[in-house]
Amino acid sequence: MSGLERPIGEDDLAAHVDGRVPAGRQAALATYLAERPDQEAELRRDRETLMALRDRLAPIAGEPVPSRLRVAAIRAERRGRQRRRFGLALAAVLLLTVGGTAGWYGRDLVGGPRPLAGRAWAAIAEEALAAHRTYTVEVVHPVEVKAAEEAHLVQWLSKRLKRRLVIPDLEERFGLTLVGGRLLPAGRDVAALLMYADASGSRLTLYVRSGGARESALNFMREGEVSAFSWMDEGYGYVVSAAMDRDKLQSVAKAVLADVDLDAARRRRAL
Amino acid sequence: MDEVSTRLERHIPALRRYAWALLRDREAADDLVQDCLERAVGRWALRRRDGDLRAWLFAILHNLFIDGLRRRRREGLRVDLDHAAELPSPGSDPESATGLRDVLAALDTLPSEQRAVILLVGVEELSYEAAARVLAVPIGTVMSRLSRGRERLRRALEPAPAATLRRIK
Repeated sequence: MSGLERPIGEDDLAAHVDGRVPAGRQAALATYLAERPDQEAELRRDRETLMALRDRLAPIAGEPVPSRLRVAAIRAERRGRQRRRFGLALAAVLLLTVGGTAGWYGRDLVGGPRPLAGRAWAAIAEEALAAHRTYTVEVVHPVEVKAAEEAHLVQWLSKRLKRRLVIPDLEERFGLTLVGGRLLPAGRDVAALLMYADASGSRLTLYVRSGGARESALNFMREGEVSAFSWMDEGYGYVVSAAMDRDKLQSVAKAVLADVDLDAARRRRAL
Repeated sequence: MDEVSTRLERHIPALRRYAWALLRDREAADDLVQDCLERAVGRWALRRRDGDLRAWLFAILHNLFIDGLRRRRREGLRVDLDHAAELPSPGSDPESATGLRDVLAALDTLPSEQRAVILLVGVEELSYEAAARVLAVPIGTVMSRLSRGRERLRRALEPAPAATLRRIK
């Protein structure tokens, strides 16, 4: 029988790490690992990692269970909700009767188009990520106007965006040098895409478009490896995207935001 | 206390641990467990009598987690500027400063499907069959996610030079 045993598989190795090798496989596995000390060492490390993970998570399971998770509390909550739902249904019936007459007068209060400001940043971030994906992989023509013609780039894009485009200096703080920029269509508006690269060739883009909301918070979005921070300010949308860890990208976003703010403040003072 | 409460409450500590390991946020984890228990109480009559109660509960929790993940991905993740400043940076972790990489931080670098298998099998000690049922995938998929996940975890825990920008091209 010994020559005809099932070969060792991934499942046997996993079971070894988990300490659940069936009795019938132990001898075969021991022979296999005795001949492969490197692999044996790897599995031992996996086992240690597993133990470390259990240790790290054990305190959570040892904590007293919060009252709101008691089954009695869950049941009471459910009953309460069912009663409220019944109450709402009753209220809805009443509203339907009253609504028949009041509805016409109330139409201006509830109907009509709603501002989409709450979702606008996500749409802008998606446009920016699409542009990022398209142009960061471009080898021959990543930009239309290269950094060498920065003055022309600023003038051209500012004219099309109808606002003074600020090209933040990210070299000293983040080691990102300007590659250049291009103009992009963005629905009925236009957008500018500025591209930066670090010493290893990794690229970051800053997307600026008109048609944004007056202002918004800094929002985070991730698509695959690429992360993006976006915000809106004075009717313009800004998105910084790169395959970079979130904290670092956030510092870049804040630096860009600060540069744009500084420029706006200078302009206001100059007026 | 009735039978349902007794049978369900036995599993709450493990459900909280799994939820916290996935979300790393106390409030959000307990919200997830609460939703899971509500659903379990509501569907108590629908469960398979002879089935594995533990696997059934983990399956409910896991599905709720995936739903939440999808929703968050669609909506992006909102961070207020003021709030964002308070987020601890990985660099401020004393363990990473001394070169000791934290096992939880390493786990975070894994895709969520590998993370789930490692936690269900390794920490919650579900059988491979039960983990396959929880995740609604064939057992072969569980085994390959487990071995790929562990390999990745091993690499993440190896002392490595400080992470820099990844090359896009």
